[in-house]
Amino acid sequence: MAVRESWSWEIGLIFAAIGSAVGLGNIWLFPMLVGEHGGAAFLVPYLLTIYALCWVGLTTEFNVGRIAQAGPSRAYERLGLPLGKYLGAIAVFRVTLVFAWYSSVVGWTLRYIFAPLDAAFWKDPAAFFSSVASGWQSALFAVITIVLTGLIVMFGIRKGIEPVVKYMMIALFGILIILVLRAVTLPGAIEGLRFYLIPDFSKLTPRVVLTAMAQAFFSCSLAGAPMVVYGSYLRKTDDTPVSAITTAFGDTTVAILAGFAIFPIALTFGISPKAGAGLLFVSLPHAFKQMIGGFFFATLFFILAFFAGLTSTVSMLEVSTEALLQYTNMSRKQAVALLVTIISLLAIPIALYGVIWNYARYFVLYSGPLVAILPPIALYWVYGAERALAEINNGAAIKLGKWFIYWGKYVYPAGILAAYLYNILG
Amino acid sequence: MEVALIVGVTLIVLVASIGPFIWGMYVTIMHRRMSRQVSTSS
Repeated sequence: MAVRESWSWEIGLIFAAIGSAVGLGNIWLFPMLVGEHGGAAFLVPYLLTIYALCWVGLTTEFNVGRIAQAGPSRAYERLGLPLGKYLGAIAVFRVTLVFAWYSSVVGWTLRYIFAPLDAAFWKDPAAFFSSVASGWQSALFAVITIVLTGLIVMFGIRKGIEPVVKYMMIALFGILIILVLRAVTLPGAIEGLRFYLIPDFSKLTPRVVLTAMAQAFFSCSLAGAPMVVYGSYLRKTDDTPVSAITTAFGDTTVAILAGFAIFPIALTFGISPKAGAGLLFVSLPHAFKQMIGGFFFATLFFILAFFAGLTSTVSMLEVSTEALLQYTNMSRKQAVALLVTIISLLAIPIALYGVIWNYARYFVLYSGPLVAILPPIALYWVYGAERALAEINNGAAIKLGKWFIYWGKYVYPAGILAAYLYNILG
Repeated sequence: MEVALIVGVTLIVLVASIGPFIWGMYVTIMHRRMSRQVSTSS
C-alpha cells in the first residue's frame, strides 16, 4: 500500500484550509451582511460563533480525516458510522456539483483580471458583465478555471496544493492590505467606515443572529468534505486545535479586511454597498473608473477575487480526486484528468444556460445540514468522545480538557444544525 | 465623537479577528522550532 502524502508542516494545512474557506463570499457577501444587519452589531454574533464553534468544527473535521486517513468517501465508514460510505458519497457529490457551478463565477473573475484592458469594461460595466457572464465566454473561462485547478491538484499535496496555495494566499493578503490602505485614504472613507462599523444593536434580532452564525459556518467551509480531506493529510504529531483556530481567524481576517476595502470605495463614489454579487462585477468597476490609478486597483482587486476563488476550487477538486483514488487503482494524474473532463462537461451547460444547476442547487441547499453534522456525529457519538479527545490532543501544544467533549458532542452540532436549518427555512 | 467611536470599534474588531490569527501562526512556528531543536539535540 502506498504511503499517504502529508503536509510538510502545519502551516501548509493552515494556508490550504484558509484558501479553501476564503472565497468570493468573503469579498461581497460578508461585507454586505455586516452593512445590512447593524454594522458592528452583526459582528458580535459572527465573532462569537467563530470563537465558540467554528474552530471546534474545524478541529472535528480535521480529526475525522486524520483518524480515518481518508477523505469523506471513506472517513465516515472507517469511523464506524452506519451507512457512512453512502453519506460520505453525498458529501463528495455535493462538493463536486458546487465546483461545477462555482467554476463559472471564478471564471468571471479570471476574465475580469484582463477586463481593464478592454474599453467596453470602462464604458458600460453592466453590459460588459452580461457579455462575460453568459454565452461562450462564461463557458470558456469556467473550463479554464477547472483546468487550472486540475493542474494544481494533479501534483498532489507537497508539490502542488501546498506550495501553490501558500504563495497565492500570501499574495492575497498582500493585495488586500494594499487595497485597504488605498480605500481608507479616500475622501469618503469615513462614510464607508460609518456604514460598516457603527453598531446598531436594535437590528440584532434572533433572525440576524442565526444569519451571522450560518455565514460563519459557511465561510469556514464546514461542509463535511474539504476540511476532512485536508485533515487526512495531517500526521499524528501535527497540532490540530491551533491549526483550526488559525484557519478560522485567518478566514475571518480576510472577510473583515474586505469590508475595510469595499465600503470606503463604494461610499466614496456613491455606490450602494448592498448591491450583492453585482457589487463585484458591475458597481465596483464604476468606482474604479473614477478612482486615480483605477486601472491598477481594478486589476489587483480581480486578481484578489480570482485567488480567493481558485484556492477554494482546489479543495473542492481534491475532495473528488481523493475519493476516486480511494476506489480505483488510477494514478493521481489520471484521476484528475478524468474529473476535469467530467466536471467541465457539467460546467459548460451550467455556464451557458444555467440548466442542471437550477435543480442541483436544491440538492446542495437541502443536503447542507446533513453533511455538516456528519463529522461531529461520526467522531464524538460513533467513534467515541474519549478516544476522539485523545486523538485531538495528539501533537497539540495546548491540550484540550474534557469540556471539549461536551462542546463537540452537543453544542457544536446543535449550533450548526440550527443555523443551516434556518438558512433553508428562512 | 463619531470618529472616535469608529476608531475604537475598528481597533476592537481588528484585535478580535486578527489577534487570534497571529497568535495561531506564532504558536505553530514556535512549536515547529521547538520540535526541530529537540530532534537535532537528541
